[in-house]
Amino acid sequence: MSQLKSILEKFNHNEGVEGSLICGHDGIVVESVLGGRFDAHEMAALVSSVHLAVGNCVEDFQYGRANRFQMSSQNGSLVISELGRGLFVAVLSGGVDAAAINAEIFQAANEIKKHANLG
Amino acid sequence: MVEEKAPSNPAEWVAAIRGHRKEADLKGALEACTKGLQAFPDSTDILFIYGEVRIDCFNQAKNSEHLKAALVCFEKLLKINPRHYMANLLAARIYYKGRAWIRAEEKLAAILKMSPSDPRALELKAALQKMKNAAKGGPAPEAKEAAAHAPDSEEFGEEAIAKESIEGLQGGSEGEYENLISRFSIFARLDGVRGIHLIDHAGVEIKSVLKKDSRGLSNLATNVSNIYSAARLCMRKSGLGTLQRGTLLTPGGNVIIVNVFYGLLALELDTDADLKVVEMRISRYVEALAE
Repeated sequence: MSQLKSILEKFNHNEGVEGSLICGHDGIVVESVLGGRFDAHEMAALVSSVHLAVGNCVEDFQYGRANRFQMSSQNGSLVISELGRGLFVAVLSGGVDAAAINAEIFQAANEIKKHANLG
Repeated sequence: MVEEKAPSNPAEWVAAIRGHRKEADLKGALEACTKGLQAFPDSTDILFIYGEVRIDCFNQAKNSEHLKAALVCFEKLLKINPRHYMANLLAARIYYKGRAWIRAEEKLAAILKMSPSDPRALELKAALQKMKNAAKGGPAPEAKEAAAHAPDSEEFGEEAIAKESIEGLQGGSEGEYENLISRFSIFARLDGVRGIHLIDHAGVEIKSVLKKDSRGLSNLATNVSNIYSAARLCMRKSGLGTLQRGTLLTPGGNVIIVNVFYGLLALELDTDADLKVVEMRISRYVEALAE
């Protein structure tokens, strides 16, 4: 098993995490551990499109670089974390305390940066 | 007699123009647009709504001069802000209907560069391709029929734009916006809030309240609307349902975007703002709206 996959699997053991993936800014999947209801390639492409809009916004605002963007609905949340040359995406179930999972997301993103040439 | 105070900023002009549109007073709306643009010639919000009013006028009078004027507005706006989603989309539709396909393609390319999976742009691109193929390969019956109804190339026939093709322009009414604005006080005296903005789904700013030390953000309404469009599609296609909220964290500041029925609420926050407290206020705001 690749190191990246094991980082994702470890992250997915946290309560309220439904899956996670790593993709490039271009929307190409690098690694994913998602449940059967999600299509990794489609999700990566959609996330890449969101990242583009966020990037344009942050550039206009002169805010530096986006660290994280979280999208929430009643059914769940998607958290996009910047890895430098890629993105770490966490899929969370509805009702999960996102604040509680933030530290885990931060830690997983750092581990990915260490092990992959994305940072 | 009390003299009515003239609007003093673009947002007030937009509100005044919306008021005329609501009352179907297109003449008044056009006059307000002209005056607003005299005062603020580079206001993208006034330029956009002027384009919308011109489309309204076309739908009413079927005079193609209105569409040409709308295009001039959208083109000027896009020179200032090439990423304005609705201006690109409406300009593409007008060009498409006028069979100025290359120009329509340019506008769609600008949208798809920002949001490669945008359904409205993809739909129009597919229709454009179909028309182009039909024109190249000769008489596909449906294209022939469409061409028969279409005006000459680069001209805008009076029937070129059907009212139903201009979708996405209708936001909330003035009363609904008033309801959203009147609850802004829920965020008063909240530490770390730099600005509160109400934006319609097309990316037009309805109301902004900035703290004294806030510098204001470039193209805020368009950027918020673009993020919302991409994020909404992402959540829906991922099977996670309707986007309610987006939270952007950056080293320069944080932005929370909330889907509030008829528009988008964008909160500009300091990096050290207590997000939990802000989230609680947002929940109160949304609950108050539902009451």
